[in-house]
Amino acid sequence: MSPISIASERVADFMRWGADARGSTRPLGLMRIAISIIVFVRFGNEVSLYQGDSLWFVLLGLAFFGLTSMMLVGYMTQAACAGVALTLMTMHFYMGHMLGHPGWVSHHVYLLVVSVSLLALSPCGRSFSWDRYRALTQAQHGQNIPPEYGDLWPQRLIALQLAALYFWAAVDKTNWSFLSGQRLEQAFIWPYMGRELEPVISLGAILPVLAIIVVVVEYVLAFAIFVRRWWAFILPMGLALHAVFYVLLPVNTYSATMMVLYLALLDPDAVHRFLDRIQGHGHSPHRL
Amino acid sequence: MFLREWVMFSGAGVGLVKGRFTLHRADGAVTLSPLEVLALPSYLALPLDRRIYEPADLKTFAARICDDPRETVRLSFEGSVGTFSGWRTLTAHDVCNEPAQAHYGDAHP
Repeated sequence: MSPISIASERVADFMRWGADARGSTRPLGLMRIAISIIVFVRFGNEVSLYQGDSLWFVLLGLAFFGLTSMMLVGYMTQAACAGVALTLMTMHFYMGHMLGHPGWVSHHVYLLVVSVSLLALSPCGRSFSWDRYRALTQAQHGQNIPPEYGDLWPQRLIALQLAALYFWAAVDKTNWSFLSGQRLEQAFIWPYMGRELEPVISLGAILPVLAIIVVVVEYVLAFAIFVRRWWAFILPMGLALHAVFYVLLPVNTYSATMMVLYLALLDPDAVHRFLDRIQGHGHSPHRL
Repeated sequence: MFLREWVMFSGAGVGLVKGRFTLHRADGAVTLSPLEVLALPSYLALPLDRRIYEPADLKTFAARICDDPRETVRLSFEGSVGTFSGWRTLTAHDVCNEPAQAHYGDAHP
């Protein structure tokens, strides 16, 4: 085969995986539910109505709770997700960056903005949603049942977002100040100085070793999360990395969000069959 | 602003110091940790605008002591401050009255 035909075949493979991908919407439905809960947990207290010091802020809180609740239960799902995305964009870009609201410019908030925006472009309401329940009740005698099946290109973009995040996080750390352990020590000083585990921040020679491990793992994850035959090793490693981050550092909702977004990496139809199986439907032919 | 590189946690410890402050009292020097100067249990409670982004910011960091009219003795600092390029040594002979004289040393190896 000529290099040109090999390249065109690779491009065709990529298009089949990405832009043309179709499959079960159950992973998207699960991501929608989990991300909406994470959004609730992250912002619920901060935008509750008793926090409102202006009519504008009260309206923001009302929009937040209304739209996030709709996203959670899957009522008018895509519109609800779009509304939550717009609300989060307002909070992150306008109120955070332009008005200086503390904490809303953080990268874990940006990750939520991107995730909800991509979910709004996906058919995430076709599974585990009130929309699906209504469609099933309206279907006559088993006819016209809407399939839990649809375009998956937004799910692929979420997967690419994960890879980009790992890659650029590693690039940002590829310098002497991080690899020597200095910036890791700084990151530890922030939460640990004055605490019981303060000795952790003076780990000496261990800090550069930890720093190098973190950078290597992030570079590996950026590419290896797409290699299916490595998943048995790579996915637990990534999940463990985020669990360690959550336990050791004040990363807020970052670790939980990343763990949920790992669903975007999995084969949607395999997830569908797995859910059928654990609900005892394994012996009947599954339908997508 | 809208398309950002992923730099999460890059600035987690930037502007925080490790080292010691010293109050030079007539009856002897008293050493204080940074958290004792702040009177905070942890750096997590320190607002971003109280961090040290240039040597003269030490006075803002130590505002609890510098703004206390009962504390008239000299407050000095010896230690390091976290920057994006690693730790930098930081020394101040009189934090409250001569903040402009505070200066960086060499970056740590």
